[in-house]
Amino acid sequence: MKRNHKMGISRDTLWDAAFLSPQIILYFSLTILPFIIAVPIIFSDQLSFIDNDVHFVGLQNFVSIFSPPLVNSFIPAIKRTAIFMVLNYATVFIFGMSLALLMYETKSKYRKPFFSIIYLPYMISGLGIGMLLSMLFSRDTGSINLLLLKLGIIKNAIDIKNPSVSTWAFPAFIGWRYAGFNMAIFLGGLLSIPPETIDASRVDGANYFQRLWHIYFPQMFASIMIATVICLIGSWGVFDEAVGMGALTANKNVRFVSILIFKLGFSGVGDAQTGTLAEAVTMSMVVNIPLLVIGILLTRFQKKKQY
Amino acid sequence: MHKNIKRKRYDLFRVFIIFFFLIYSIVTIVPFYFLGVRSLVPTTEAAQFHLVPPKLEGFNMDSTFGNMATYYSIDLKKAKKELGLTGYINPNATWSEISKEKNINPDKIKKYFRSYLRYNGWIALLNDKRFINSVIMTVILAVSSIVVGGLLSVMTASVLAGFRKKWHSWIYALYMLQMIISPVVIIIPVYIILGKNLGLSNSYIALFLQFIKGGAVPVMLFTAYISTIPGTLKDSVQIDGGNRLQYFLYILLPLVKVPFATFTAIMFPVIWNDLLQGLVFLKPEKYTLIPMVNSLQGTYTTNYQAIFAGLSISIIPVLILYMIFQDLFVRSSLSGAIKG
Repeated sequence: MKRNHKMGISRDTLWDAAFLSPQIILYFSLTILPFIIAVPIIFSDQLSFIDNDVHFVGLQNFVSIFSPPLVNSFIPAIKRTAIFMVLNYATVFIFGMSLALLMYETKSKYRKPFFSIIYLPYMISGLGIGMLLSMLFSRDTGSINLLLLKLGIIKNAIDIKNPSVSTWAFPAFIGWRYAGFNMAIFLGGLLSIPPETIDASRVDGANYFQRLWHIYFPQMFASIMIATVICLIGSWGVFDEAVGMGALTANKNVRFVSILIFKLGFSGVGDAQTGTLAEAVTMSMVVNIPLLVIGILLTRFQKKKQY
Repeated sequence: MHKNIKRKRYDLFRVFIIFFFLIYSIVTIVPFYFLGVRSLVPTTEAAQFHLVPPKLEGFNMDSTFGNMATYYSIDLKKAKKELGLTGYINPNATWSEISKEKNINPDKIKKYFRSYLRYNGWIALLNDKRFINSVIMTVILAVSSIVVGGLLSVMTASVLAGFRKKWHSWIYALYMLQMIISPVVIIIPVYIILGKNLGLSNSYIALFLQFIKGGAVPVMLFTAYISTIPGTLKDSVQIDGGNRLQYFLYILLPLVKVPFATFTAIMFPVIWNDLLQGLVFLKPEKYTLIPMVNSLQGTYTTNYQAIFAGLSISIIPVLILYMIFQDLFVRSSLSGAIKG
């Protein structure tokens, strides 16, 4: 099969290229190329998609996204997203990890039905999740609100439009959505631990928490890394759920960075009040290039640790 | 003796876990149950708690003609025609006045509007041509993207499996990159490429191309599976004088049914539930399902029944597919398939 590469491209390579090219061309132009064509836009004054009078402005956009009026919406959005990320990461463990650990202790014949139900919210659209949250907890018509009021558990209705409520409720609800997804990742890690290791620790008299700390967590390292990267990237890219809560219209509590970028790029067509398309792209890259680097480093780190 | 106590305590712990999972499952189901109920609760009663859809009190003959459109999203022209009403009707006239004036039996009016009271959300949506169109287009898009996208990913994986050459693993790494790039990060440049340069704005093809472009999960899934297929199969085809295409069509494709089902189970919800691409590329009248559900809040404003019925319609197909395919999810997750 091995051919001399100096003789030119081998038949085998031609077949490889024929099979790869349809998808890799699409993939490259719709995933990698966008980063490349973003570069000239960042240094330009492009107002909108239909703006044909584009000039080079150097680092102007990096200054303008950090100065008024744009900074007044950019910095709060970054803060909001950062808080969301921290709380969202907490839910990965509060929901995903606890459920996986409990599921691990359950007899396998009981696992399936519970697993299916816990996984179910992940099937629903993010938009639907946001709309469900509003449906359950809006002040006057929220179903859970009305139920709790009727049962006398709460005196005053919970108002999801209240910033301090939505700061907590939004990540909690998203944690519920991803509970099954994260549980599956962690359970996969748990189930790949050799049973002998666990038996040995039992014989040595290690209690549950010792086992957790010295066996489960270290052996689950790869799963924890994957869940971390997915949560990190997902938190800064959160969009659908926020739109379901009305982020594109009136609800300012869920106006995350991604929403701001979308609004700048697609709804405010060259509106001086909101900002330019170039500024939106600059914002997106300022926030996401560091994330990409962190994501790549984390996945590489995980691979090194594995071997 | 000591061992016995420990064993009992452990059994008790297990019972507790089952109990916990039961509670958690109920809590998980409740929102969907409430969604179903709320799609049948009239807006006028939305501020009261309903465990089950409220009883119908019959049609109120004192409600005015004009309000039917506002409260129940009823097409007045159609209603007039179907009730046999002709001529001008004052929007402020009550139905009892209309029945007297036009000499129509009140029971006929009551009967006509009865179903509208409870099911008006569902009726309004199923009569909404734009909504129905969005459902049909979403089905077509989802099915075609899964068939074509799956085929392309199998082609990719058929080359990459086994990483026979160094550059194969680079291509694989390139696909893995997709996992850490959120769609919203690159949406503006993507719109410039597809919408502006290729002229695909307001075209379903733009969405189709995005759905079939491949990514981390499909490539990972198929590559892992195909690398378990013995290489002797490939060699035997070559010995018989067959080329790679013949190997692909007659040997490989029939073998990838199982991962293809898993691929469908994973990708269908992703495509079906897409909001961003539809919102960006399509005009409101061409929206796919999820953007359409989002826009219901604008079209039906306070007709909560219609909004929640729309949300239900967007959820039901995924749920059905989930029930069919849930074995695949559970099996692949519980066997420790996700290892990184």
